[in-house]
This record gives sequence, C-alpha cells and structure tokens, in this order.
Amino acid sequence: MKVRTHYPPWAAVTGLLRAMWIIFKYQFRRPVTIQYPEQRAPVAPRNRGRIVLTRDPDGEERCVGCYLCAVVCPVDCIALQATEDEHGRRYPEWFQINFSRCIYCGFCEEACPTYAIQLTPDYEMGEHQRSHLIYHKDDLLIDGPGKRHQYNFYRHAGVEIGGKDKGEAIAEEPAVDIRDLLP
Amino acid sequence: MPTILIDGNPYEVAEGRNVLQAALDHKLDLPYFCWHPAMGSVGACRLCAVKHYRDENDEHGRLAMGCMTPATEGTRVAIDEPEAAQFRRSVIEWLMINHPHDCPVCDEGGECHLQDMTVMTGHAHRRYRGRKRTYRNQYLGPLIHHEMNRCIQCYRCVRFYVDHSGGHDLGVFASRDRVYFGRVEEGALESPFSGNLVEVCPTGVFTDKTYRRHYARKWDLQSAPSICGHCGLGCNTLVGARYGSVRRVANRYNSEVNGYWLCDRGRFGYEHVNADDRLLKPQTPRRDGDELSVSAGRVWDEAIAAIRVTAATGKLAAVGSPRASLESNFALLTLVGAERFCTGIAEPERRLVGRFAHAARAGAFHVPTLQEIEGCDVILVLGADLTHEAPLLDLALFRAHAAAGAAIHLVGLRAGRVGEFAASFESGDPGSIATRGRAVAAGLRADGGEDPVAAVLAAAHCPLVITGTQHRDAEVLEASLAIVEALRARNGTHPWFAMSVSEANTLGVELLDDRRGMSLASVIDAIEVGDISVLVVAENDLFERCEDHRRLADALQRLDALVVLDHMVTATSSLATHAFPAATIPESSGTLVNSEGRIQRFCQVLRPAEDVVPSWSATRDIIAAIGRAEDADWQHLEDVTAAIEASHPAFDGATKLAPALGFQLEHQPISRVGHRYSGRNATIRPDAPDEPDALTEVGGLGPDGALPVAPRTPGWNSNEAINRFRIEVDGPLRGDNPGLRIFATNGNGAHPAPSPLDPGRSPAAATPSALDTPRSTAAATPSGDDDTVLVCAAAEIFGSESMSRRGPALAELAPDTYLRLHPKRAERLGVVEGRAYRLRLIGETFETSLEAVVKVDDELPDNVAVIPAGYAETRWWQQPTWMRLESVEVEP
Repeated sequence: MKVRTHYPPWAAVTGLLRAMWIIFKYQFRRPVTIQYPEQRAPVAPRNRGRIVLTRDPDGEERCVGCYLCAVVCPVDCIALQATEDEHGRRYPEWFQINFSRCIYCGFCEEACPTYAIQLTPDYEMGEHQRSHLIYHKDDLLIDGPGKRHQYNFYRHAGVEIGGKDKGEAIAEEPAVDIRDLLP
Repeated sequence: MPTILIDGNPYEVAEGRNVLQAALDHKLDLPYFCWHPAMGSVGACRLCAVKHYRDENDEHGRLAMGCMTPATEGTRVAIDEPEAAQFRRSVIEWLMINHPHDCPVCDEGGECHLQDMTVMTGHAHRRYRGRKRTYRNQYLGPLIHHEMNRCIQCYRCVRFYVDHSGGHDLGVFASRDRVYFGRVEEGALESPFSGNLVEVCPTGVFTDKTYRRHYARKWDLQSAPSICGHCGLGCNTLVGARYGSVRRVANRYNSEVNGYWLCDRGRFGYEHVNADDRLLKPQTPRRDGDELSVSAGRVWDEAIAAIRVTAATGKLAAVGSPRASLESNFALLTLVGAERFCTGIAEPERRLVGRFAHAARAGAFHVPTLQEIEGCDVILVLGADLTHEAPLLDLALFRAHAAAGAAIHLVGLRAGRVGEFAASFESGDPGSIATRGRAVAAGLRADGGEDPVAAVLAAAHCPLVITGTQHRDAEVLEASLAIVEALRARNGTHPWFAMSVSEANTLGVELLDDRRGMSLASVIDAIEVGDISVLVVAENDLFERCEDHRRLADALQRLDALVVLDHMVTATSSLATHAFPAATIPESSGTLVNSEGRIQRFCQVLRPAEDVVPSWSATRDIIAAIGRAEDADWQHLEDVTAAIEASHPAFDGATKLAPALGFQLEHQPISRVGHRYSGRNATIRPDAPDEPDALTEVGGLGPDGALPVAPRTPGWNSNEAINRFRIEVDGPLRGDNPGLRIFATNGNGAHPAPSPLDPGRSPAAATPSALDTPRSTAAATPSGDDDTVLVCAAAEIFGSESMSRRGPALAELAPDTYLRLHPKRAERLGVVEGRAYRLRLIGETFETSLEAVVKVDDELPDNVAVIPAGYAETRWWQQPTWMRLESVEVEP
C-alpha cells in the first residue's frame, strides 16, 4: 500500500468538511447505544453465556458425572463429584462452576456425551462478591432439556438402571441366556 | 542378542522374545489385548497382527500374530504396513460391534486399554447399525463390580484368576458369541487376589466397587508412590486421592516385590483413611470421652507441661509401633532415649523378629524377594498360613508351583489356600510343628534319611524354608533355622530363608531398637511401681499387644499422663489423657522396612485434615517444646532420615530412596497430579502449605524412572503404559526398582561369608520383665482329658489387620468371631457346630471372655482351639496359651 506523505494545503479544509458531513449524516441514523438494563440487546439463540445442567425428556438429571467437561475446560473452572443411586444410575453429587474464571468457550458443551451441560444466551451474572460467582448444582440445574429435546443417554447405554433392564435400551438384543447351548 | 527388522529398521532384542515384546521393548506402538507380560501369549485376540516376511527377498509376506512370532535372528516384520494396519483396525471394529455406549458411566474410561487400542488402530467411525448383545451381570461381592456387556472376550480374567493365581470360582460359560465370564452362581469372589481383575481386564468388565462409590477419573487423581501398610511384604502401591480423600489403591510395578499384583487387603484396605471414626482433633478422652471440650492449643499445652516435668525426673517413656514409619519411631526414641523406648511389639513376637532380623543382618541366610521365590523348586512352609498372613507370598508360592513345578510342603495349624496346591500338609499345634521341623533338620543332617520332606529338600536345587510369626512360637523359628543350617551344612551354599512378619515396619522398628530398650511388659511393670508416670504412645493400640487387659487398663489409668498419637480411635487412645491425631500412610511420607529387609519410601499423597500431622513431626514439636530443640533439629522428613542413617548403620542409604527435597526435573518439581488434572480453579483455593518431599501439587510430570507417579504416556493411558517405563518387558523399572535391601544378599556372586547362626546375636531387653520369659506350649498336660486346650490364633486376611478391617468392604468379608475345635473336643465341651457361645477362657495368669461361633474342624489337633487373630474380641491373644474353656450358649 502506498502511504501518502505529502498533503496539499487545502486538505485541512476538505478533511474538516468531510468529518462534519459524516457527523451530519449520523443525525438521521438510529443510535447504537441502548438503554441497558431498561432495554436489552438481541442475543442469538446459540450465544454462549451462563452454563446450565439440563434434564432428559423424562425429567431426570442428564449429567452422569463423567468428568469430561471438567477435563476439557481450558481454565479448569468446573469441578464435580460423581455418585450413583441405589439402582446404578450415575449423577453428580455436587457440581460447581466458577464463573469468575469461565471464558464461555463452550468446550464443556462439546465434550458432554449426554447433552447435559449447555451454554445459554443469558449473560447477566454480575455479583458483588466473587464467591457468589461459584455456582453450585442448585444454581445450575434447570427443569428442561435445553436445546436437545429428545436425547436420553441411558436409552443408549448398556448399563442397567432403575426402570431400564438389560436389553431394553435402543438397538439391544435381549440379555443372553448363558445356559443355552444351541449353535 | 538377535537382531530383527521391524519396518525395515534393525532392532536388537533379548533372547527368547517374541515380536510383540520386541516392539514394546523398543517403545513401538503395536496394539494387543490378550498378551500380558506376566501371563504370556495365547494369540486369541488377533490384534497384534504384523506382516511377517520369510526373508529379505519376500515382497508379499503374510499376516502373523506378533505375540506368537518368535523374534529370532533375521526375523523381518512390518507393523506399519497397510494390510496389517487394516487387519488390526478390522479386529477392533469387530470387537466394538457389541461394545456398549458406556464410556461416560464406565469406571475404566480414561485408563481403558480398549479405548487406547481403538484410538491406536484408527477405528473412529462405527458402521454397524444392528443390535448389540447384552448380558446380565452377577453380584461378585463387595469388592468387584461386574458389567459383562463390555467384555471383548480376551480371556485375560480367567487366565489370571485360574491359571496365574490358582482361583477356582471364576470361569468361562456358554458357547459361540455368548461367551460369559463369571461365577457358576452369584456370590463374592473367593480368591484373595480378585482385585487384580480390575487391572487385568483391558476394559470395564471388572471394576473396583469401593472406587465406584467415590469415583474420580485417573487424570484427576492426585497420586504418589506409596507402600502398602497392611502386612509385612511392603508391596508397592499407587494411592490415588481427590478432594482430600483417598479414592483407590492401584498396583505400582516393582519387578522384585509385587510385580503387577496386589492382594485384596492391600487394594481395598485403604478405606480406614476416609473412615468417620478417625481421630481428627486433639482431645482429652480420659476426662471428656468423645466430647471435644478443650481447644487444640489447650490440649497441647497440658500435654507439654506433663511431659516437661517428667522428662526432668526421668519418669518418661515411649512406645513406638511396627505400623508407624522409621522416622516416627526414631523421633520417639530421640524424645525418651534408647533405654526408655519400647518398640511396641509384644515380647513373644519381638523375640522371633529380633532373632530373624539379626541373623539376616549377619548374613546367616539369604532372604529372597518374591520374584526369587517364584523360582524355587522345593519350598517348606513351617508354621505359617501365608494366605492370611502375607497373601502375595501365597501367590509367589502358587507361581513357583504352577510355572516351575515346585513342590510345596506345609507343616502348620491351617493350610490356607496354599494347601490346595501343596504336595503335603501336616497339621499340628505349634509344639508339634517345631518337633516336625527338628525332625526334618535331623533328616537332612542324616543325608535325607527316612523323612520324606527332608529327602525332597536334600535333592532340591533351590530349596527355601518359610516360616511365620503368627504362632509367636520361638521353637518353630528355631526349628526352621535348624533346617536352614542343615541345608547349608549339606549343600555348602547360602541357604534361602524367609519369614512373614505381621506389620509393615516390624523389621524396621526392631532394627531401630538396636540397643534394646524396654519390653512392653517391663513398661507395665514400671508403671505399676511408679517408675513411669508419663507415657507417649505413637500409632499403637497396646490392647492388641498385651494379654492381661485388666492389668494394662489399670496401669494406663495410673499414669499421670498418657499421650497418644494415632489416626484411629483405639482402646488405648480412649484411655489417653491427651490424644493427638496422626497422619496415615497416604497422608505422610516415611520409610518402612519389609519382611525381606527392603527399606522403602512412601510419599505423601494427600494433605491431611487440619490438626493432623505425621507422628514424627508431632514428636519433634514435643521435643522442641520441652526445651531440647537441638536434639531434634529437623525441618523436613529428610532430616530425620539423615539422623537415622547417622545413628543406625543398618539403614545406610535410606536418604537416597527418593529424590531430595527441592529436586527438579527440567526446572520443574515433580508433580503429584498430571497435567490434565481438572477443577483447579473451580473454587477459591487457599495457599498451599509446605510440601514434605520432592513431590508437589504444581510442576511437571514425574520422572519416568524409579519413581513413576501414575504411569501414563501419550497413547497409553491404561496401566499397560508400564512398558514405557522399563527397558524391557517384565524387567525392572528404568533406573532400577525403588527400595534398598539391607540384608546381605547372595546375588551376582557377591557371597558374604556364611556365618553360623549365633543365638546370642539378638540382645536381651535392657530391663526384662518376669512376663517376658517364654511360655512353653507344652506346659500343661495335653492329655485331652480335662477342659484345657492350647488356644492358638489364626490370622484372617480380612479382619486380623487393625487398619484394613475398619473399611466397610473388608469388614463385610471378615468371618464372624469363631472358635474352631476338633469334633471330639467340641463334644466333650458340649458345644455344637454353628452356634454362638459366650466362652470364658481361663489361663494361668489371666482370664478373658469371648463370644464366638463354634466351628468344628477334624483336621485340627485334638488339644487345640483356634480363634481369629487380631479381632476386637481376640486381640488379647499374644501367644499359644493353655486355657480352660467354659461355655454358655447365647440366645439367638
């Protein structure tokens, strides 16, 4: 690119006039500034904001405590502890995300094998105290399935949980009869 | 050494290897499933396929299994060859057809050999759209979880369980593609080595049930090399912790000690660390019971005041512990001086241990490693029940039998599992065991003679005598030593002799107490005459070491102050005036000496709770607080170890067992956590306190040499990654196995001059007690006419060890308190098999009572009654004692 180093003497005047013209033009445009919080900016549905934990279509927690979100997190802001109920269903005993560290990269959502962890368009998370930015399971768990309406991990997994026996998952044969000697 | 060509490159390999081993030796990525370094090749999984060329002119080659192709001179193979690679990918794709969509809820995920191999072969896309096969799981007891859907039919589980370790109750069932690995009927697995299935299984069929309750991924575990504290063998373990609690124990490879294996007591015995009933705050139990009524600082001030006064008058003594580290015991010894220090081992046991340790130090015999034991051809076990005392020794015996055809002869009270494969078993009470041993020795001296066992021993190339301490009978040990001596005289070689000891540091504390301080009985005597007014006890329950509980309790009550440092609430800590919480093995660093005389370092895995400190550091603080800071000028554990090294030549080299404090590798300290450790910023973290050794929670990965912190290399996330940390498959770790043997060995021609056994080598206690005189097992009339029986205790693998039995999983497996009798004896007593009785046991010097279920056993000698050792009800038992039994049936 050629850089102009010498300007003609009238350039100061034309430059001034052009700037005034641009300012004048903006008199007739809609202002970009909005009166937040009275007014809200439109947010795309896939905008990455506050993280939630969702439930499957049957209303059960989707999170199985596999730790993949925690390990993929580039800022290490997710911690959880897996446990299981008496029927073998895994769920997080506790789950916490430190939103003062979170960079909303969405890796956790990508890593989640059960669509449990999802990023929502909500970004209004200001707090006066830093410790309030550590969200616990109560704060994270919502009552709906989020973006994925139908998926239920346990309908695909081979493990047996309360209400789903061996062979009852999608694309499974009934349990083998190991005493059967037929060829 | 043959040279083979892999992918056109020449590689030197050791003699007798196959292509798969050769590839792994040279750190090449060749996938495999069914091959295992300890269990060899079967060629079942077809995954290690390589292209095998006949000679250098062969352009086509043929597919061959790497594990079945010997690596002989000139062998030419290709791993990186399209057809072989496609074959391996197809094998994985076929195995994955039925593999469930379980990884997120599978405990193997992240350290799964199947995951690793799937990634390694490049199978990334599932084409199969059909239905998957499913199986029903079995209940396999409180230790192992079964999830059969995940099985890939590699047969490793059965090969380990049945062929390698001699179990019976796991098998292969069903036919064609329905092959099923499990038990005939649901129920707890019977083998004491069942926990190894978790590591042997390349996928998640068998997983750790205790880990499941507080599961964390392998990459999230904070790990450090540790030593198992649940028997005397000192198996190397890798303890994993997360969020301040211990999550699991895994094997840490040491080719000379435990190899790839751990017993179930070692693997699942960690739960006591997380137990709710631990001693976690300084308290004053004698005054307030379990209540926490006084502040920690106040308890400390009171204890220090009491100790300071008595330290000046010389009425202070200390009792150490065979389950505490060398450093903790040494700190106590420094506090009170060698003459006022008691090892905390009861005299009957100490006599055996002292005799063994000093004879071994003097080079009277060679104490073999577990690996060496596997190569013996005749083994005589005299008076030891290895299955229950030192389970991995049982496995070594089975390996010697199964792999090398060793003949194992047992003489003892109970055969245990070893009886299943032993060539002979002779049952007897401790007295007759000793007599039998003497007869074998006499037979050996008389050139084999008529004695069948002596004849076999005489003909052996590599005979080994093993004894144990469970009968607490010096005569049994002397008889064993007589056999060893006879073997030396006969063969003119250095004889091999091993003894199983009951606790992790029994030998260490015995060698530390080289100037023989007080015996436990003399401590009690001294308390009674007022010669001791303040007693410091570290990590020891004296009620497990003393017969006469009433007398002991009275003596402890008489003390002005009883200061107890322990991590468990015990009968002793409940009588303490001041009890301070001590750190467990995973919570501290220290040094232990195992039964083969190997000094080993365990490293702190996790930070203990506030107020909990290692016993050595609490003792150091006591020494400083009573104004003798210059005696214990120790900042770190290393300083204590260095002081031990300086004062006890037996432990020479102890400071070199681990990298020094501040050690750095490539400008970074060694980290206890991997670089994938997650959740570091999920909370606002407190500043990290000082670290006790070279391991830290920041910094780089561990060195890949003698001290692997969780073994893992790129592409190898499972424990199979161990191949990357040693120079050759099945060999020692790179940089040699950790640990240092302090007994003279006869390896590599370095024979120490054989010295005849000297009975005077184990010095007597400085202040003997009348109770210390050995009690003869032949004292009473063994006529069988009266109600007097010789009460013996039998170790139970789950239940006899004081720490592991506090975990719920192992407590479930421990048998109920029993009294085993010969049927005739039971009849005479009027007791019936299977019923519970309240028994009064009346001995010559003390009496006690016991509630137990009677079991009848016609293999037992008529004059013996057997109770389980170390149970809460039977912990008074210290040595075989003639006692009169009186029974009252308990209402069911």
